[in-house]
Amino acid sequence: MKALCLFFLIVTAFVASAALLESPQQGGLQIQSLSSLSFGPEGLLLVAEPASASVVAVQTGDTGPKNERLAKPVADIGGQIAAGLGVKKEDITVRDLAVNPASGRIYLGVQRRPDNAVLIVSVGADGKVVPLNLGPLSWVRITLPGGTASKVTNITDVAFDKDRVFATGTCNEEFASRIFTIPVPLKNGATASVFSAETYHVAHRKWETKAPIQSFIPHQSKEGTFVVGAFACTPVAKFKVDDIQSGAQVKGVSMVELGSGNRPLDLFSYSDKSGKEWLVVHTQRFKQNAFGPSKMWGARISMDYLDAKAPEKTNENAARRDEKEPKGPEGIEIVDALFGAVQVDKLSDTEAVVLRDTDGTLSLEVAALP
Amino acid sequence: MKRWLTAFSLWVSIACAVEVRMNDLRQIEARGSDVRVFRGDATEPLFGSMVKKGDCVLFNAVLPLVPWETYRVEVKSSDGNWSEKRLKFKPTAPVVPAVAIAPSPTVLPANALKLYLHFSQPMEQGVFLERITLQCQDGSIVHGAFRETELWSPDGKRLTLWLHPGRQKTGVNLNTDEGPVLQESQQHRLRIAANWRSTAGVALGKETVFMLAAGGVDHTYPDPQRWQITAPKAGTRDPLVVRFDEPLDPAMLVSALKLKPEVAGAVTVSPDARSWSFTPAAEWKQGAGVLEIDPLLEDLAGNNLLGPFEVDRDAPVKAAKATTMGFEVRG
Repeated sequence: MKALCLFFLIVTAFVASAALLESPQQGGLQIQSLSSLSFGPEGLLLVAEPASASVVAVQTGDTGPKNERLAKPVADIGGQIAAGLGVKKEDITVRDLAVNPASGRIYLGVQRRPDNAVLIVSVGADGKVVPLNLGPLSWVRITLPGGTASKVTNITDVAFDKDRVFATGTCNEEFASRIFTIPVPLKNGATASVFSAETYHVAHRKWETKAPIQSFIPHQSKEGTFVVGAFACTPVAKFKVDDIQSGAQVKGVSMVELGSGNRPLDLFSYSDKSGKEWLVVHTQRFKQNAFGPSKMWGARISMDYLDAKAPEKTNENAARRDEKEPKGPEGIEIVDALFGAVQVDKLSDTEAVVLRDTDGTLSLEVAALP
Repeated sequence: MKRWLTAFSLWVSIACAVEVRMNDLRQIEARGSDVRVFRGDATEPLFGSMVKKGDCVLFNAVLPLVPWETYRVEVKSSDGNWSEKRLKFKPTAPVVPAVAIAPSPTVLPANALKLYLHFSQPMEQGVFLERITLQCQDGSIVHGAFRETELWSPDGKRLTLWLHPGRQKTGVNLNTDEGPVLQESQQHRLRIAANWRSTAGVALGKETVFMLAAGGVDHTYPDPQRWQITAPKAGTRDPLVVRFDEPLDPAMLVSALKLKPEVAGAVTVSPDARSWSFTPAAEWKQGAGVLEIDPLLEDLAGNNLLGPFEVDRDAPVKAAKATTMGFEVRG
């Protein structure tokens, strides 16, 4: 009976996964470069591949059950990965971290120096680092459309949202920002829609058409579907993306300003025990932080700020974090667990996975969310 | 790559009895029943897979072995004993990379946004902020001069170096707090560190210093009406030349100007990015031609034909009136 149940589970998973990719390639995938990782449902891994200006979707087969939560911190995981790649630990960079929500397993995108070779490794409950064997997996690659004068060569973030995949990118020539959408099921060689974003920058009280989105999440509200993005300097803005036509310019609404001298790295949302929704912004400061031991830090923002509509609460009137206090105004506060975090992703509504840098040594741990 | 393979040198201690080598597939091949490969004295082995083939074992590293690294290979012989050998991946005829800057000479507006570094070899990534230093005329270092986003061309040889827009743009917090990256009417030094390696692991070997001259700020959009076009003569393969009144983005220029109707030929951008020329593959025919200009073409301060980089979105947009240039090929 158990075997029969397992059979049905596998068949169900296969049928469901088949709807995510259309006519996928079988095996032979090689990732040339890597800037961002993200998971969709059923173990679907999205890889931003900037060297080819592409998003690659891979069926990892890691579809659960959800029993891979890291049991205890892994000290010097950077040393472990570097040894596995045959270099010193200062010769690797963890480009991104993503938790597979289906299993709780942690995936790290690693770049090695000097040859810039990339590898995806995963870490399960036992803390062992295992390379992801792409050889037998199904995949598709979608190349993002370039501008008229140059190609997108840096993909800052990628995320799955129900019936489409979003990606954000910048060019290596003109100073420009783009948002891309790719319809699901994802099809090898499919065309992405592209639109440019116009945003009000709270800090200097001007509209911007060119500032690149550093990180984003898809966000559903009563008003529709939004891309909530964070920019350097650091406004958090939302862009309504329902029924947007390719080539159009979408006007963003700035909701919160976290303060100057910051570079956002990651965003995720969660609900606390009371059911209140929060947006976590993981950030790097250019200078020493006023309230913690590291330039790497994070804050959480009540989602109420993002759902505000009234003009007196948006753009030039957007809420500004009180940079002289760890909290304030109400609903904006520093998350202590994120000091020193170089990569972070949500594990559950109560926990996040944090890759922390302590004096050049990387450790991996599960941290409680407030 | 094959040269490296043949040059893979083997350090075999005299006491070793087991043969170890690297085969043409870049696998480590050893006579024995098991093999583990480590970098130097590392305690954790390399990621990879092992297969048995007769009385040999083959180890496939998950990523290619790295030139210049020393590997420790532990082999289990058929009698169950482990022995150890060291291999050094030593490439022959290593190519020393070199770096150039564009535009050159590097005369920039004080509010310049970007310039380009061209390397002769693909370079290691993830270290550019540690390898590039900008100095003011008085020798002081400009901290936080560059945008952290690392933008390489697909072949890994060209780095787009952004002077931090948050400091170069008027009124942005960093500009207010830290001041601009470049000082008007001053010389700056851009120092490229000697230890920056190519992807083959060969360092530049010596520091390279580029002089950057900063002029005044430029808040004016590029305007083709201020450019000069020189038409070639029919029956020749002389270049069609456009001279600009300021340096434009040298990378964008390669593809931003297009002939209509299309003509096969080659584009050349002058090192100082002040002129563009097109040499046709066949002789010019008599008649009128049009040069279409991509309105996104930028000058060095990020101003494009659609308007200045620093634009007040509430004010009327100042943009170039024309995005084409006509010319006449005469006999």
